[in-house]
Formats: sequence, C-alpha cells, structure tokens
Amino acid sequence: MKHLTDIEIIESVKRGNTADFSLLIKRYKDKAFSLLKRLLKNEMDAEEALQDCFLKAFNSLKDFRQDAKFSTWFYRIVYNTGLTVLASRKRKVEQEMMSIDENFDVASFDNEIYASSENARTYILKIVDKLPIRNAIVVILFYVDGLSLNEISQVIGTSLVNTKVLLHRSRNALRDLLLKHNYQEEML
Amino acid sequence: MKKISDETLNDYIDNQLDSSSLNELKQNLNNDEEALNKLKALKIVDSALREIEVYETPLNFTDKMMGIISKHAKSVKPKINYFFTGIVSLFAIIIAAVLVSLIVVVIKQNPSLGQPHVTETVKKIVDDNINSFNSLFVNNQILFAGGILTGLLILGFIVILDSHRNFKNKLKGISH
Repeated sequence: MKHLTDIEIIESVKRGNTADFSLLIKRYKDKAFSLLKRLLKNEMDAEEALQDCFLKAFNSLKDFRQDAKFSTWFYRIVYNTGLTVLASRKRKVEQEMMSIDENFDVASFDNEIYASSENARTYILKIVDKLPIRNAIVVILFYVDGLSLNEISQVIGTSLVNTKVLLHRSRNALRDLLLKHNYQEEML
Repeated sequence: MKKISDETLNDYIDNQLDSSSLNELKQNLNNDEEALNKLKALKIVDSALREIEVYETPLNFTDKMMGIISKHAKSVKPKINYFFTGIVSLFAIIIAAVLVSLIVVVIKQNPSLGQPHVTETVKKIVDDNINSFNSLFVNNQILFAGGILTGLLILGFIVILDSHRNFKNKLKGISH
C-alpha cells in the first residue's frame, strides 16, 4: 500500500477530493479519541467531541499552513475542543487546570487503586487517569501520540520549559507512589 | 558528592544527557542509593507509560464522520493559482490594449473607416504588413529561439501531465 503524507492528502482535499479526508480521519481517530476519552471521562462525549474536531479541521483546512505539522495543528484543535466541552459542563476548569506550581493530589486515590492493582504496570496505568488534566495530556501526547516536547508545547500553548516540567513532575509523582509501595523492589 | 537531581534522572530517561553528564551520573549513582532507587522506579514508570492503551473509536466512525462532513461542511474550493491567473490576465490586458490602440491608429489614419468599404481598408493594411511579418520567419535566430521556446513549453506540459498522472495513481493505489 502506498503511503501518502498528511500534506499530500491535504493538497488533494484542497483540490476538491473531499473523500480523501477519510485518510486523515483513519490516521488520527483512535489516538485523538483516547486523548478525549481520558480528558472527558465519558465515551459518548469523547465521540461527539471528536466529530466536532474533524469537522472543525475540515472547515479550517484552507487556513492550515503547510510549514507546520498537521498532527500538531490537529491536536491543538482536539485539546481546545476538549477544554470547551469541559467548560460547558460548568466544571471548575481553573481548578482542574491547576498551575504547575501547585501540588496535585494523586495520593488521595492511591489506596483504592493500589488495592485493585495486580502489579506496578497496572497500578501506573490506572493512576495516570487520576493525574490533573494538563499533566495527563502531556503524558498521553508524549507516550501515546509520540509528540516531542516542543510539539506538545505548541498544542497546549505553554513554553517548552513548562511542558518539560509538567512531564517531569507527572513522572516524579508516579515514581514517588511506586517507591511508596516498594514496587521497584518487586520488579527488579 | 554532588546530589543527583530529579531533572537529571528524567533527562537520563529521555536520553537528553550529553556524554560527560552521563558519565558523571553513572559515577554518582554508585554512591547514591536514594537516586538509584528513584531511577529504578522512573524506568518502571517510563516503561509502563509506553503501554498506555489506545482506545478505538466506535465501529464505522470514519463513514459516519464523512457523512457529517458531506452534510455540514463548507465546500473546500479548489486552490486558485494566483500567479498563473495573474500572468494570463496580464497578457490578456496587454493584447486587448494593443488591439484597441491598433484600432484607434487605423481609424485616425483612415477617416473613411466607418464607411461601406471598411473591409477593403483593413485588407489593405493587412497586405501592407504581412510581408514584414513573414520576414520574421526568414531570420534564422528568431526561428531558433522560437524552436527552443516551443520545445520548453512542450517539455513543461509533459512534466506537469506526468506528475498529475502519478499523483492520481498514488491516490488510487491506497486501499481505503
């Protein structure tokens, strides 16, 4: 199967081949869906938001500058759409979107998750979902979507340094919980 | 002994340390059990995070999405090549201007135009100038330049046609 780059597909869609947009949908739907599902904690909301993201992307394709990467541009749409949905639920987004200087309280979920986890891996994967939104997004974009820290900083609109701090703090928080339960002794 | 920072350990996990920092870290780790434990735990975290599950979208999501797009999306207008359009327009304007000025000159030189024998006057002007036009094709240099230009135009056309055909084949080759 020949592989078209994102830019080649976009060029084709701009020439009027609307059906080719399905190639971009197939390429990004699952990863973007994972991000939204973790962000919104609800499958139906995530699917609806994802539809909104692809529609926005299609309608704004003419504004896409080809010196940027489509993935970064699209994940920015996904991130902003997710935040809009959260805001519309009248949640205290500011509280969720705590600044990186605040301490996050992953430990409050710890006992419950530890009790239901078979090993370090399942424990980590469960507790990732309890990270504050921005920390969780950085972790997912880094590990699942394979974006660089620089690309993630463009998606979430923070500086590179702050993005790096968010990733390090997330990992350190998870690391401290592992150490608390002596998981590192079990694994090695 | 220099205390190993969390940042250094994270940079190690991300392969961001240069060789001298890496050597320094390895030496310091031998004497810093706390940092060694932290590093072990960080490696477990990093390895577990690489296995984060990717959730799949519901079945037929792509078809459903394409249906929504065809219903609600603004049509994407084919991209206009403004440079090409500009050049063509410029030539069209120049040609129109030359024609208009020719007509004006002809009318000024032949006030009788507008009378019944207009066609005869035009025929006379064409006859007068046809020889100088023909003489262009007797000049070898002009013929040579014209030949090269024609060749380049044909070559350019073939290249554009070929790249267009390749792109269409590439699109067809994709299994949807």
